[in-house]
Amino acid sequence: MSEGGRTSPSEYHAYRRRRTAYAARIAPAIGLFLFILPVLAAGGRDVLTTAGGAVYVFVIWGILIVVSAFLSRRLVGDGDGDDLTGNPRE
Amino acid sequence: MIDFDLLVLVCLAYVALLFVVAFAVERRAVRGEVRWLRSPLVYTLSLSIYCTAWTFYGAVGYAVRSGLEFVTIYLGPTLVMVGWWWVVRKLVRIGRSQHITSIADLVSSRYGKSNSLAALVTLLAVVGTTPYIALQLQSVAQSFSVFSGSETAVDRAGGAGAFNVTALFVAMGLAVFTVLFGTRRLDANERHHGVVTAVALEAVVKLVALLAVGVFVVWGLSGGPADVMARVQASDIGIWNLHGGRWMTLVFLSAAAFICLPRMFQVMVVENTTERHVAFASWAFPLYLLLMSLFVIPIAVMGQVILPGGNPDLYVLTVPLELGHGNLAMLAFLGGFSSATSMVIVAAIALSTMVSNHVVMPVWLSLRAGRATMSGDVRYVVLLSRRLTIGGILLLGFLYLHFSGGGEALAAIGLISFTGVAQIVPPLLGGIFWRGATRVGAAVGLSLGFAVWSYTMFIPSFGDSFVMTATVLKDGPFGISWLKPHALFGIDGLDPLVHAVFWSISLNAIVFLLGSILSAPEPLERLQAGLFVNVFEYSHNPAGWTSGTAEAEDLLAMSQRILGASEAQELFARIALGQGKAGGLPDTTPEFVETLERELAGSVGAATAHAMVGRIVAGSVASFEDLLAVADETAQIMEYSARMKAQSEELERTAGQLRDANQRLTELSLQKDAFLSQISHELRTPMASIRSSSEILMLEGISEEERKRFSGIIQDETVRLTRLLDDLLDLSVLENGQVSLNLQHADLHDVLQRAVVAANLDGGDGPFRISRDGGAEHVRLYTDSDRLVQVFINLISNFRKYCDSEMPLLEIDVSRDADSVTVDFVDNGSGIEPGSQSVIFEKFSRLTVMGGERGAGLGLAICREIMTRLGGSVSYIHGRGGAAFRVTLPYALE
Repeated sequence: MSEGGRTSPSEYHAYRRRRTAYAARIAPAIGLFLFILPVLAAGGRDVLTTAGGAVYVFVIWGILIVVSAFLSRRLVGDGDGDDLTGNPRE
Repeated sequence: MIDFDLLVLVCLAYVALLFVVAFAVERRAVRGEVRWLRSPLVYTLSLSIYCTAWTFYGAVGYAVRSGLEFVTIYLGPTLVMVGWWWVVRKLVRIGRSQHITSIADLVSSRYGKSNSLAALVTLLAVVGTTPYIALQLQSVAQSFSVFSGSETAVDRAGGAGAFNVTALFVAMGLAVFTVLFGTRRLDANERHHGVVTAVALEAVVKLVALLAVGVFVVWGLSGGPADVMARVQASDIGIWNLHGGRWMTLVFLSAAAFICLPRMFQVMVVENTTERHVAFASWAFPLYLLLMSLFVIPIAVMGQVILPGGNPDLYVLTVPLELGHGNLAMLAFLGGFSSATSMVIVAAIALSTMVSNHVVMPVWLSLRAGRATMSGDVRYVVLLSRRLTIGGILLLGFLYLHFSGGGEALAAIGLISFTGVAQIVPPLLGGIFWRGATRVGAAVGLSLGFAVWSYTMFIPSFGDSFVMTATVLKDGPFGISWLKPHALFGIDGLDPLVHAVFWSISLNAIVFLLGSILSAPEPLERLQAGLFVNVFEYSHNPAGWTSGTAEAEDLLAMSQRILGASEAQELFARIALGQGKAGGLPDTTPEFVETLERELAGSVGAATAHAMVGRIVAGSVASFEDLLAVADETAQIMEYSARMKAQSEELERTAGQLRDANQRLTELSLQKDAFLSQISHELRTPMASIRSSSEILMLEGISEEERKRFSGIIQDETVRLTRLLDDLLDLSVLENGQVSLNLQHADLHDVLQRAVVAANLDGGDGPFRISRDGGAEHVRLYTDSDRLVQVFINLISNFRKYCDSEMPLLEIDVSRDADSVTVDFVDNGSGIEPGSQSVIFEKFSRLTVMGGERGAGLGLAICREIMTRLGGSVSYIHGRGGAAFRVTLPYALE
């Protein structure tokens, strides 16, 4: 990051990319958590309906797709190479 | 009802279309127009071979039996693709940088190119995939039989022959297609543009087919989404019977299988041309999966309404057919056909690559060992083995279908297959995220996982068979209850699937971790580990060492062979210290790599050093072992030349010493000549006096006074001669080491006092004066004080003999340090001229005498010998004005 308060465009770009890469890493974990949530909610009892469960699963699914599309577009960005790297040193 | 012949015709036309597409694309690919063919959309659609006939038809059946649980099969891959930044991107990068051809190749490359590991993975893949192919053949045959009127596969007693014939024809047709487009030529990257495009086309067909049936069911048969929801609520699966363990296990399993299935790895990693496609697929493929599963529950519910007794696995086909929508049924049939064929084609290609690369070729090469191999030869064998493998795999699938009888038992094979290939997950993920993973750990873990999977899942799936009888299933082998295949270690009550996945994967992972910790990797393995785990660090810098990429450990291993172990370690430690890391290896910064390259360049030349460092830094892996061999050879040559250099230096040194010795000998010889003439003169002069005196004494009539005088001369000369001979004897005794020291405690002041008195300089007779520091002189010594007095007398006498000052003054300074005392004798004369300073301690060397008695030139030589015996030294000190001698001796002689 910038040391003196001013941030150059390239630094800002790299910073934004890194943050996006972190988000891309966290996304599947959140997705997994949300997909497993019904198991905790049901707690072994038959309290959920298939219709309600289906709506829940598909809505989460849809949100994940949108988030993923957003993140991957930002990660691909304006580069033109075949390699995608979020931060210089991983 | 559609005419069966028409169905066959449509089917053949569809296959012909696939042929044309694949052929046209291959043509374009040969002409180099690949770029536009491989769009991200094609990549995403090719991933859809994950959705086989098992999911196309089977998902609805699954939903009828278990409700919403079917969706887990899609959720796992969704999470994998959403998390593409973690695993898929890394696999793709590794796949490209290492030219990976299959999942077996990846595992083997990671663990030091171990072919046995590759063979193990290949075996696992073949065992896991063959039943899966049988399942596809069954689906196609079943769907044919639906049209041919023999109803479902479960009830096909009369049509068994036709069923088998259909399956056989399908298998043969697929084999031909796969051989034609999968093994047309050998591509270094194992990419098959024609097949991938055909697969993408089939992906569109199956999606459109399923969506069409879904739309028909939701809007054609019922009154829209709300109505469907109400119907779902009212149906048998209205209550979501959520089995938490199975739910989570299936999500994990499908995610694992998505990465590890050979066919998925083929399209996802091997056929991938750019990482940008992965980014696109990260959302597009989950969307595809979502669309594929969107209408599964509506179709399942409506299927049960319309065909309550029918096979739910075929509702996608039978519901439109039942309601007279022939064209829709035809589309659904093509969708199922596409699902089955695309899976079989890609799986056969992937397996044939693995089998030919890791089983056939090693065997063939070892059989041909020692014989010359021509390149055309190998190419022919590879292609032939792949073609035969493809045929063999399809034949195996058909035989499996034929002998297992198909039906319900086969439907479970999908998850069994998933669990089998999921065993690759621990070594795969461990291999790309953990440098410490070793081949031993991977092999042991994989073998155990494979064994547990076979025991708890694969073999029991045959039911009561000769391999595992019903008794064993129920009570365990030999009645050992804790070995029951469905309740290992007495843990009962788990769902069989959860049980098998839990035990196989966890034992596999634990043994993998333990084995990795307890075993040591080979150099190549260590290098590969670094290249795999840190693939993003080195694969992104085409020129120069712009980023820290190489692993210090590998560089150290190589440097040690060139520079020598201690030198290399010292260099690394120094650089690490410079980086602020005391202890441990330095970070591989560009500066470090450049420094190291310079150091190595000093030993092996700049070009070689650059090549060697570059090999490690840029990660050109194949020849690491060669590199080590080169480094060894270089080290040997360097050692040899270093030995030669050392020898020649030694010779030069010896020659120099000889020259010096020769010169000294010459000087000594001259000195001795001079001395001999001197001593003969010295001896002659007193002898002459003695002789002439004695002759006079022998004369008659000399006076008493004269007699006294001449006897006195004889007496004096005799004393002088005796002293000369005493000195010579003393020196000889000292030099031969025969002297015995009389050690005693003494005070330095007393010793000096004795010397001054003996030299007749006490009390200031004549012009000679001595300046002493009485206080500093009181030093306790344990030495031979008599010999020390002798040295001091000699030095003081020299002062008296040689000091040429008007007012001769001798200063005696005593100074002390930790373990020795120093006595300086400095006079105020003109000193000894520089040319003579080096010879004054030599025997027989005498300087110009100012007057008084002449010495024999032995005094200082004797002093030096005595001081050596006393553990000290005597030397001439320069730049002190007059003549200055320094005596150094220890406080106590040992």
